[in-house]
Amino acid sequence: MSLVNLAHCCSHLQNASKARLGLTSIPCTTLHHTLMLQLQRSGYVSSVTIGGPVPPPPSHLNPILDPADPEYQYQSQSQSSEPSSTNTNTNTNTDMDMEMHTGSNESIITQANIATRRLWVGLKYWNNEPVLQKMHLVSKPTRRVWMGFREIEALARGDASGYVRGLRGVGESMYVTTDRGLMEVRDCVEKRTGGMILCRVNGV
Amino acid sequence: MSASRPIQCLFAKAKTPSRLCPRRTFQTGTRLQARRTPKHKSIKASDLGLIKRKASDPELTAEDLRPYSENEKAALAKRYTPEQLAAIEAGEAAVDLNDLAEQGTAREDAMRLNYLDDFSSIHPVVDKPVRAPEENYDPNLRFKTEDELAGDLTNWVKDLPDEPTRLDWMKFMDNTRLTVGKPEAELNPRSYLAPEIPKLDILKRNVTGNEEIDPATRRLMRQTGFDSTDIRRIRVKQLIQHRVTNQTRLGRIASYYYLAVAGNGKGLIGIGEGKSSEHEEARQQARSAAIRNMQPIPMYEGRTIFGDVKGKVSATEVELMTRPPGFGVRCQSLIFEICRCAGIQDMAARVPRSRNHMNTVKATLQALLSQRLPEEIARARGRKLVDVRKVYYGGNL
Repeated sequence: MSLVNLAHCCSHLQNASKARLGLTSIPCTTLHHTLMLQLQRSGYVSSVTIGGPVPPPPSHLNPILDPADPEYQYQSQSQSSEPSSTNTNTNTNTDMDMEMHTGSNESIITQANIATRRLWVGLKYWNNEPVLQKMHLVSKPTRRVWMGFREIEALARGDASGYVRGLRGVGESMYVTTDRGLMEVRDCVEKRTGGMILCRVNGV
Repeated sequence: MSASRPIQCLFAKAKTPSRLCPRRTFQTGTRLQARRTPKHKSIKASDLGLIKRKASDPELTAEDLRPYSENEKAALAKRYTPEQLAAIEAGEAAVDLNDLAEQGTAREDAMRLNYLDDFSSIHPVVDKPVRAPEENYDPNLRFKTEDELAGDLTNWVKDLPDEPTRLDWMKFMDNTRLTVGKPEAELNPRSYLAPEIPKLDILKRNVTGNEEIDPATRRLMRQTGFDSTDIRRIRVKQLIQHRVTNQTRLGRIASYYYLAVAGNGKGLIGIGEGKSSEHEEARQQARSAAIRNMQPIPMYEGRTIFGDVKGKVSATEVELMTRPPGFGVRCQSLIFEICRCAGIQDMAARVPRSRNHMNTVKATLQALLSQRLPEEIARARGRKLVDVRKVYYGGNL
């Protein structure tokens, strides 16, 4: 569990939000994946997809879109036109197109492709503001912060416990990795479990 | 199970005697068998002479029952036509004097109104509004097409008398209907709106013509749309004043800097700066700018802020913290004054770094404006957010 990579990931998501990106990629690790799924559950990101070095087709991001749908055809064509303008090698281009249109096994991790997998995260915006504005580590690589249920309960209530400030902002979230999985602070309180505080989202 | 069983179930209740078990009593004492008859008859208070007639109530006297005298008739003849006068006399003759004596008196019972009203007119505020019946509504009502309107016009032209007058045209304009459907749906439609309240003189602001409004206030009124009384009610506080100098090749040129904060105590707040070589001019500039810059800030329950917020201007950082009811505004004087103008009653603040007065005020305003509303966050995240305080106490807070 590398908190260094997680810190880079937090910074990257902040930067991507500030740059108003719609889709961005982060290194694909189990920790990142579970954290992103939790963020998606809290509504901070729109989609979490495992893919290769190029962005996955829209049908992979949004399961509502069906390859038989004409809108999907339009979107996939508009997506595939971008690399074709830059890529000089027509063979690889057609391969890539083929791969995208067939909706290949991009998200299945094998020994052969594990090194090239990326986690593609869809970012959300509301009223011209990013939904995910700030994301910071609480535990640092040099100082992990572990907390029991009582301390986490205090945090969720808005009180500080130890060096960690409570959740006092409106719509602030904190994520904890526990022996029962990675979860939000409020889920921790509900399940009466403690763990290592990972990061804080949209803090004051 | 036979097919007739459900039918039996249905009629089972009707078959059983209705009073199989005695009715449950809700009191331990003996039940009253019948209505209690009093031993002594009740006597009305008016019969005992306990109720006294109020001096304000009009009393029917013999003077009211006599016919009009000649003098009175002459006075009436000045106002009414002979036909009207005849109708009045016929009406007077039709009224039985006994009825007038019995019914034409003020009520004395307990349910009488404590004011005089002839009930002939409907007061738009007090009385229940008279609405057109719901049957007047016509779902198939539609506007006439141009052809239909043209048809109406040609019919009118056809039926015109030989010498048409302007009156004919006015009648046509008034009586021609613009819609197809029930006539009452257009002429007397059912409306669920409250009746229009008449313009009452007592509600008029007593603005006297000779009231002097200084040019600065007049300009503010034009710029903000506020009334002069509104502007007078706005709380303006001068927070900062100091002398500043500009070094030019001619030497130091001094002027005075003022910073004012304005608010209506209900969530509107603004700051304004003024700079001039004269004190009064700078102060007036700051005041006007503050009132002009007023903008609304969100307030939770009308007393505190939504969550903790931060503001930063230059090296000055301001942290504002939301607090429970009754906490008060516990913070430094500048932020206290801003809270007082905005109407915030519970808040705490910390200025951890530089405490420059001007930047503190600006950072505080920035922090107050950076509040995020729970509804907005719920919409943005697509999740449901609930104010637990309102859920637990039924919103009675």
